[in-house]
Amino acid sequence: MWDLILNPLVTILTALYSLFNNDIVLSIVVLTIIIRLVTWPLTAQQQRSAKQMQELQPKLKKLQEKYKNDREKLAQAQMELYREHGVNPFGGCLPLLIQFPILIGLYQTILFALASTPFQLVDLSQRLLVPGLDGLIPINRFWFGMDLTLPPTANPQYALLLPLLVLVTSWLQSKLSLPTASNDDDGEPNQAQAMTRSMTTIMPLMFGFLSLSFSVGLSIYFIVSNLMTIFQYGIVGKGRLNGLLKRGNAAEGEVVPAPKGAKKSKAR
Amino acid sequence: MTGEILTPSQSFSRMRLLGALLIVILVAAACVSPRIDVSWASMTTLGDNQNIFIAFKDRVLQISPINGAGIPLLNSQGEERVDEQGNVRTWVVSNQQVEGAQFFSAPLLIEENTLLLPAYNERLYTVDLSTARVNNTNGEAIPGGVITNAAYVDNVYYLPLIHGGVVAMEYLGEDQFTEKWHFELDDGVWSAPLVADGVVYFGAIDHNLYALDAETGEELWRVDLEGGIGSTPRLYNDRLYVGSFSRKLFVISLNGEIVDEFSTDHWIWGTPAIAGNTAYIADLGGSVYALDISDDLNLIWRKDLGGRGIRANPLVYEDIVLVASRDGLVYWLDRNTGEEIFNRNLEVELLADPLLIEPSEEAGITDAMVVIATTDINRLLVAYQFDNGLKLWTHPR
Repeated sequence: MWDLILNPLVTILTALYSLFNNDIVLSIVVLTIIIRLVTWPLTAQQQRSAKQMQELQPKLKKLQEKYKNDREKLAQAQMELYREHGVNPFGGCLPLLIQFPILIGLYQTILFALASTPFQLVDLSQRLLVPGLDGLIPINRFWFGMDLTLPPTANPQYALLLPLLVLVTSWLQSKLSLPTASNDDDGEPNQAQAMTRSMTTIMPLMFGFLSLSFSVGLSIYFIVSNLMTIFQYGIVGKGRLNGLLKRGNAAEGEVVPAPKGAKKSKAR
Repeated sequence: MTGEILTPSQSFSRMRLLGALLIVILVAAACVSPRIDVSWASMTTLGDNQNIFIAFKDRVLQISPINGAGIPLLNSQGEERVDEQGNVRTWVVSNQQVEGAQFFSAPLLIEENTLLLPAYNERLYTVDLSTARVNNTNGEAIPGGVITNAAYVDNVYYLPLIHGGVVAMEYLGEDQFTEKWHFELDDGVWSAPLVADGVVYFGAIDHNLYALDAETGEELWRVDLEGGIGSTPRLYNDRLYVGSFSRKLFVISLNGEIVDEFSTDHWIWGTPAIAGNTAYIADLGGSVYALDISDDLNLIWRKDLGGRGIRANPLVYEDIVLVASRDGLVYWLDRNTGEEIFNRNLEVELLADPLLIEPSEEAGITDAMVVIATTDINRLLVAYQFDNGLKLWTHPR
């Protein structure tokens, strides 16, 4: 099944390599952008769904309070609320499931295309769908003195900047894309929010750490992919991106001071 | 303890969190390179008894061609040595003796009782043939890893490097070497060089076939074959026959001119076999070709076996052409017509070149046999009688 995704991607990457005068890094960047653009509608749908859910949070909270002792009624009321606002609570899952094999495929494409051992090259031989591309193999694995098939630790010291960039862009990306949750009425972060905060810390750290052992080529892919996600959130969820940059972080569901003159609504 | 009641929104939050964790796990799983192994096994036979030496991954083994058993190690009284559990100790060099070493290059005999063992960890080791003990556990440093067989003339060993060209190392005796020359390349040389009449010929992944002065390492010529070269050139009647990833077999004169070429459907990785006036080649699309080399490489026959293709060299013996495919099938083809006579299915990927062992009175081998090395360490070797495909043994048993 993977071959259906991998073989065309490997072929396209190799064709781009030919188009961009044997510059594999530029080819990886362009292919990543192409794939993110192709999957843009799916990502946008996922983001819209998340945004709608976020907007419903205060109402959901009230319902939880109201029906805290009656699970069945709460479920009914919530479903009614979703219906009323035309929201599918699982609307973000399907686009994610469709995108995921493509993104994993893109990731593996880079590994295959940068084949640097006999085993890997034998595998690559079966993945090029256009015969004329054979002459481009092996793909030049050197870029600014770095061997793209080796991890940053086995490259010149400046290659360590790449895991750092992976960490920073992963942090920004996860800050924007992870689910948000509002505070409890007492102002304390609820369980979901605590978990979200953990995720926004752990995931970038993990990716940054893993990038130390990944090949440099993959770090480049991660950085471009993260930047594309950030860019996409910039387009689709502009307010959220602004919120991220403010001290009072709206994107994490913290209480944003109400504008002057606005009335405080009492919780029922 | 009461069960926690989750509302749809709480379930949703948890689902998303679980989804995020799933993504992390999947990404981590996908981070495993599709193929972390480096290369396939190399085999050779040494000595009058034609014992098989195979280098693959973390070990080098010596195997009896008679029954496929490991060769037992003997003590000074000529008795079999046993370990603490009473098992017979067999001949093996493993990376327990030389930490971190991997072996894909068959050993070479450099003295009466000493083997040369090039390794992937950029070292040359010497091994006592009687005891399988590594003489120089630190190894002699070389400028790159070796993943295929080396060539030699007299005491000079021509080592192809996975990245970085070819290095010539001279053996000085007593486990001492000196670098004679190093012909540096950015890309690798993944096939054994060929040394003939003072010239070293080798194909590189950078698309070029090189000819160097064996004494000095000076480049005599190079010719671009339009694609990577993964095989040793075959020298026949003052012509070099070599295939490339450009889907062509080239015929090259000894002064580096392309004399003729033949197009195939897929990459050619194996070295052509030549018998009589016929060259036999196989490609990674799974086709086998017989070409008349006395007549402009005219196609005599072609057999399409399909599947995942053929990486290994074809083997010609008597009236048979034997090919081992990546699908795990070993085919016996009629040399004159290409018709399939029979096949044997090993159900494991086959990439290594098959090894022919001819009948030998001294070795006690009455019929020719072929040894197939697999990519599965638990079923590393399978031997068949050549004429009828009867399975003789497997190693390990």
